Amino acid sequence: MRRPHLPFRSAGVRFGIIYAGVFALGTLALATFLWWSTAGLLDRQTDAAIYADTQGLSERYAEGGLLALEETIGQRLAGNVDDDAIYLLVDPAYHRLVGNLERWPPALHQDAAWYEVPIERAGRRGMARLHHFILPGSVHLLVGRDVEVRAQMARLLTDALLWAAGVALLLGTVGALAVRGLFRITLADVSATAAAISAGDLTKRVRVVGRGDEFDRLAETINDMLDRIARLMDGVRQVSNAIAHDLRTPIARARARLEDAAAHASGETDLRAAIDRAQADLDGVIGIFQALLRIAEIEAGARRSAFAPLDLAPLLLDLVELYSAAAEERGQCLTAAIPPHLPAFGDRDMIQQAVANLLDNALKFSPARSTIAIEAAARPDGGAVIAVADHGPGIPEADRARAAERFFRGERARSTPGSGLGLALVQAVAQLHGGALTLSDNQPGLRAALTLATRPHRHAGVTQMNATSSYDQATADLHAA
Amino acid sequence: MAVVRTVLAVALLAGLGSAAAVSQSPPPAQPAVQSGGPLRVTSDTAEYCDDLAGQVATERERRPAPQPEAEVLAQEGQHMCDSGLIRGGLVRLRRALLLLRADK
Ligand SMILES: Nc1ncnc2c1ncn2[C@@H]1O[C@H](COP(=O)(O)OP(=O)(O)OP(=O)(O)O)[C@@H](O)[C@H]1O
Ligand SMILES: [Mg+2]
Repeated sequence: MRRPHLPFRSAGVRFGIIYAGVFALGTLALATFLWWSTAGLLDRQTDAAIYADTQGLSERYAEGGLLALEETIGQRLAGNVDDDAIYLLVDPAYHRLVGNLERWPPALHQDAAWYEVPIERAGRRGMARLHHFILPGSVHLLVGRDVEVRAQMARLLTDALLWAAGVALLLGTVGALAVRGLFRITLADVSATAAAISAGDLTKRVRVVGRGDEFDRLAETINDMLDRIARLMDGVRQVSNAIAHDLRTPIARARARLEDAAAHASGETDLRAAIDRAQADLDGVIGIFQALLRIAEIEAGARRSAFAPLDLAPLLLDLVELYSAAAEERGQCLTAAIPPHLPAFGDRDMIQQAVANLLDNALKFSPARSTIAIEAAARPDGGAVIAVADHGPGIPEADRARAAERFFRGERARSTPGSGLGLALVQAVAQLHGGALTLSDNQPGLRAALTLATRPHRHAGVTQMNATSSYDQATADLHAA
Repeated sequence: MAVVRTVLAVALLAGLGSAAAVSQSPPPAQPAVQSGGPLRVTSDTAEYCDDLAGQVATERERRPAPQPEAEVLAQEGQHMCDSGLIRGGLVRLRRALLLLRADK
């Protein structure tokens, strides 16, 4: 799977090269522009002057013939204060008539052509730019300019540009190395973290430098992802541990009973009684499984299709009626404050089950002769809140956050029957309905508030498909077993 | 990456733009075939100095009144030519000639 570390496969090197390339291109563009606007401009000006000169001379020739032309050339030479003009007029046999070039340059025969010719001025060498023009009567005219100044300037410019190119290359290389280094450093940490995690160390996190740049945001996202994975793994581990632990006790008890009966039962009645008790223990186990599956089903949002507008008021009144009898039996009092109508949107059975769990807890954990209150109200944003408050022992602040986890049972709840799945189901129902389960101190006692949103939470639908299929798988497994 | 691409595109456009501009620059000149060394320019010589001095003298005779500035320039030029500073002498003589001709 892993590819060898070749330099061109390194993103750092690639970015470095791109950087250097961009830098070089920019420098090249700048140099081209510089050249065009200096040496190039001089060239164009010289050519324009030569061309104008040629035009003037040929007009003069057309008006006054050869004599007039010769005189004009002489005058122009005499008046050339810049001392850069070059003229040569020759007859058809290339014999010099007038001008300041000693002879006709060899191999110049093409009409209207431009030439760069080396010249010698008072012993110094230079360059001239010449324009050849054939006038009527096969008279040849050369008009040109000494461009030594321009050539010198071009040399200077070339030198400067070469130096600049060297510096640009150096800067480009340094920049490329810096870019590559930056990438190496930043990605090294990410890949070190990933390597540590794949080696089993789930506590490792990517370092956030604190600059708030893209790399920091990437690091934060990766860390968030790792945190979530760690939380999920913790959850899974905790649930499987709890399942192993909580189910072992009733199963072991049932097995012990059966073993004991097989060894010591003296008659059919004893045997039957032992079997009945073992059956009850195993029913409890099945109950736990059913509760777990129901929570998983709710978390998966598999029953979202059963969502409908409903009135909570009659539903709650039914529950109050049901639990009033149980409370009276235990010497407790159940008071209710429920509005005549309380519209909501959701699954009737689930909500009923959730409120029943809350009432069940309140009755179970409160002492005799205490009052339990259930109240419901519409929320300003259109949802509803149902709260159950008791005056029992309550849940210590430290345990409140974990109370809704699967299999959580408080220290003082060990003596009461139950498996710690009641609040987990309430929370699952709340989340599926876009609401929440809030536990707070009732001073004394516990106040558990279940909020429901009008419209179900958009998020729950996304996880639906995967979770449903795993739930179906789990059910199938259970039936097969 | 998007930033890098934009920068690349801008640089390329700039490069192409200047290249296009350069292509409209002067007609290409052919380097002439060399034989017998570089061509000598004959207007850097003492003879041409004399020639120009002659022209100045002719112009001066044609004038009704003297032109003091041109006189000074002509004298200086002549002097420089005589002492071997040909190009400096030529410039002064040329300026003197231009002054004399312009005044006519
Ligand atoms: N009204 C309450 N007063 C005091 N403690 C409570 C109350 N409700 C819940 N708890 C604490 O929270 C724990 C979890 O409650 P939960 O309803 O999930 O489980 P359970 O009631 O113990 O078992 P189950 O509901 O599955 O029969 C309880 O064991 C208990 O310690
Ligand atoms: Mg409970």
